[in-house]
Amino acid sequence: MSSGTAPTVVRITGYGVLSAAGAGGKALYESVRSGALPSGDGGAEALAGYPAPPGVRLLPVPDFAPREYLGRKGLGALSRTSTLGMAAAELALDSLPALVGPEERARTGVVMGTSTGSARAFAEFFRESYEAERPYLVSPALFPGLLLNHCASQVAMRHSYTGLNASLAGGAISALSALRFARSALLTGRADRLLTGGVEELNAQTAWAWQRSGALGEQAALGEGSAVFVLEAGGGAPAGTPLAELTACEVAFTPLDEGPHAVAASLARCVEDALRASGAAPEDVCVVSAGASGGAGWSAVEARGRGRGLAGHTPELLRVQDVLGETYSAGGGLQLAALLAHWAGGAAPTTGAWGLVTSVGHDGSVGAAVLRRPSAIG
Amino acid sequence: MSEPRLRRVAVTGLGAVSSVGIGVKAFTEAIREGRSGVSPIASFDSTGFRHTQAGEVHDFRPQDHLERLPAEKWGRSAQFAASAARLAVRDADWDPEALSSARAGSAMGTTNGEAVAFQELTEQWLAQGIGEIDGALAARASADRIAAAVNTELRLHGEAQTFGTACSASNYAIGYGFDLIRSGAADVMIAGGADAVNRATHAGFHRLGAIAPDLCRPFDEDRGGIMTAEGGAALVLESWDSALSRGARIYAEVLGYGITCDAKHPTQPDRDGIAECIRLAHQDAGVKPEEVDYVCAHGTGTAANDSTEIAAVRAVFGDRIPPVSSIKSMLGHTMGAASGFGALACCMALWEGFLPPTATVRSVDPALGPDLDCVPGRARPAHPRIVENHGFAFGGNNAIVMLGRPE
Amino acid sequence: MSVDHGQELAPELRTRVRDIVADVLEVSAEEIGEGQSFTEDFDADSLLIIEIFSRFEKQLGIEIPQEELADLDNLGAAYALIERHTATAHV
Repeated sequence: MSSGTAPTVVRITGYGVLSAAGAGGKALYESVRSGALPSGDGGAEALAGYPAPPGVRLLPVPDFAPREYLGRKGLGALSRTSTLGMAAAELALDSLPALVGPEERARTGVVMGTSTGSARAFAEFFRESYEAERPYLVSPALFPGLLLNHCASQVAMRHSYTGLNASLAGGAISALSALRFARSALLTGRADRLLTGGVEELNAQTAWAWQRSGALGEQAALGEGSAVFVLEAGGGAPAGTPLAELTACEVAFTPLDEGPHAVAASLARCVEDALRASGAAPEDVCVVSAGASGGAGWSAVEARGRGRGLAGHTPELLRVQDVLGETYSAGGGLQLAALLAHWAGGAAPTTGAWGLVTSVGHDGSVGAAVLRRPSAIG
Repeated sequence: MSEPRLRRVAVTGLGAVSSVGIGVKAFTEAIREGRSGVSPIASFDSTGFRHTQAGEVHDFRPQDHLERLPAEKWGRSAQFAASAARLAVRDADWDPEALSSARAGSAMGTTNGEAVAFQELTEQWLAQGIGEIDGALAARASADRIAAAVNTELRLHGEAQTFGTACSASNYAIGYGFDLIRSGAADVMIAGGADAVNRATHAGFHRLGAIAPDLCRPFDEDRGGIMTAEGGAALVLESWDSALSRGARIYAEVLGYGITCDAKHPTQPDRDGIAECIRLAHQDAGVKPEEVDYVCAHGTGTAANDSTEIAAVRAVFGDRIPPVSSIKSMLGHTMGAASGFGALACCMALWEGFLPPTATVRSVDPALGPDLDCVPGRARPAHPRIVENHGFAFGGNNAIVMLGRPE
Repeated sequence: MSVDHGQELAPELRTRVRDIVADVLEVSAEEIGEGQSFTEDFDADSLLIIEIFSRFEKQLGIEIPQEELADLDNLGAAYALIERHTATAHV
């Protein structure tokens, strides 16, 4: 650290988001508020010619054109996962008041949540090996794109960010896992600024996997998107006006054989721990940005855990997943983006200082992030 | 918030599921003797490949090691991870009930996640159509299942973090576990990594011309590349006080770690990025270069890695480079588990007093510079006090962990 | 490697080679001069060079030893490389 003293807070100073609502927080806020999405192509482009699974509503990022964010060249070997994440990172950087200077690049890094990388890229690479004349006649340029770290490393390469770079797989809580890791790294002085978020790509392979596993439940909707937040470590007064302070992010995992009540109890503990670490009481939370709403029973598990963690208080609820569909690794990131957009766009500045993001995976993973809004940071 | 008192972090248990042996005892014996784990590929049909050897774990029966995890519902990488974790916890002599109620979680690294599940799904897709893929198989294809398997097997209730930072991912996991315990956020973390041999990884490295024809020979004049390999590695990390209060054997102390990103090339390593990573690791551990007694190299056996890695070591250490060896000469490249196995070898080197060998090196490449001691052949008796464990990856994800003899 | 190799290569094969290179470099075929460096003039990194080489093998049905990879930095060298290996393939 330049200051020589340990940072004590982590602030969000900018963000970028892409979802079925379109690009940016304003569009996301409008969609979450109204429940309406711009009319898209029903997933045709994301499916890339493969058939759509029956009974699943596909909610892609409408008219996503990577070149609009990333320029024309060098996109051929990039998966949709990578371009979605990179585009959100560009939007996040564009939202900052100043550029990241060359002298800051060694202390600037990237942390992304993604559970499979691009499932399509992975499956198609396997396919190429099976179908080629010789099994090794695969495309070398596509090989690095199979890896979970491809998106985060591409963002770093694009901007020469040589600081801490990480990718975390956490299923539905991937973005919260990334936020937790990044917050810890900033507070331990391992970086000064981390572009942090989550990404999920809609494609035929993933859509069929969800459909065949039956995990989407009734009224299945499958989305995609990416959200990237600029997290900065701070000790003293912030340079600009931060969008929020990330005061805590707790994640946990409960073996599924202990049952849904144990998972709900685990989320409740995360919420309680996160609030305690933040110095906030349950009644201080004015808005919750919610995750699970799809799968049979999981919505109830999250609601129960959240309710217990908030000691029965019922703040305003942003039903992000109800609108955007199951967005898996991007989910917690899209929820956080919706919360920031809600504070920036709609909520009166007097309606309370604290926000909560909760997420529950179908596998027993849970997460809770607590945010303090700017008017309260002072 | 006042400056918190940072806690020391002990390594008290080691678990290995490797091509040279299952369990840390068998693993260490093989490493000391320089035994090879390379054999003809059996896990997929290697017809048509020019290079058909790999470091597979042929005698792996998960049910022999697992107590709770229903192996048939989990992918091969998750089975490796959970088995290695179970072995590590037994090795640490943790009471299962006490561990389950401790503030304990897991951090595991991987390169290709559940690649074998993707392989089978692709086969189903090609044979029967995309609409006929097995939904239960698809549900276990997500990489986060690797750490989830560890928590499930050990009934841990803390976090389960899976790092997808490719071939340095185990070092990320160890570093993260170290930070959590040091700051007091957790008391015990199971850290390591897992990956499984699969057709896509083999084909990709094959296409890059990076696979060795017979054996992986790091630092050798005629080195021909890597051997794709697999396995699971796990370390029990716990607070020093917890280890002392249990009367546990302390193999090693985690002293610190460093992470950098090259941010230059998707596959090629970068000397400056690696050198900076070494410096950060030393700084974090409070160690001077001259105090480092041994470097457990990333040492993949490709021309590019070995020359870049040694150049980076020289840039930091100057004239006196400590012995540098690569256990990939025996295991092959176990991808996301690689730096986990490196950490295991380092801990045993500190505990038993030896330097792991570069088993297959015949004639050290003169282009790597003078006085490179890569411990050829078999392990050498020694008493290292501080060792350095390297992990590098595609995407320029460098991570280095420093370990010390418990004192 | 000089640019005057590969003169014996059939015109249609030259066009195919040029098209493959252009496709990987994401430029139009006319933009690539025979002596222009893939790395210097078109920002290709080593992975893209291997990609070009890999597509030659796959699309032209030839095999090229890995050692010759380093020479592949311009169209002239590519023509020479293809000429050499199509020739041996027919012998």
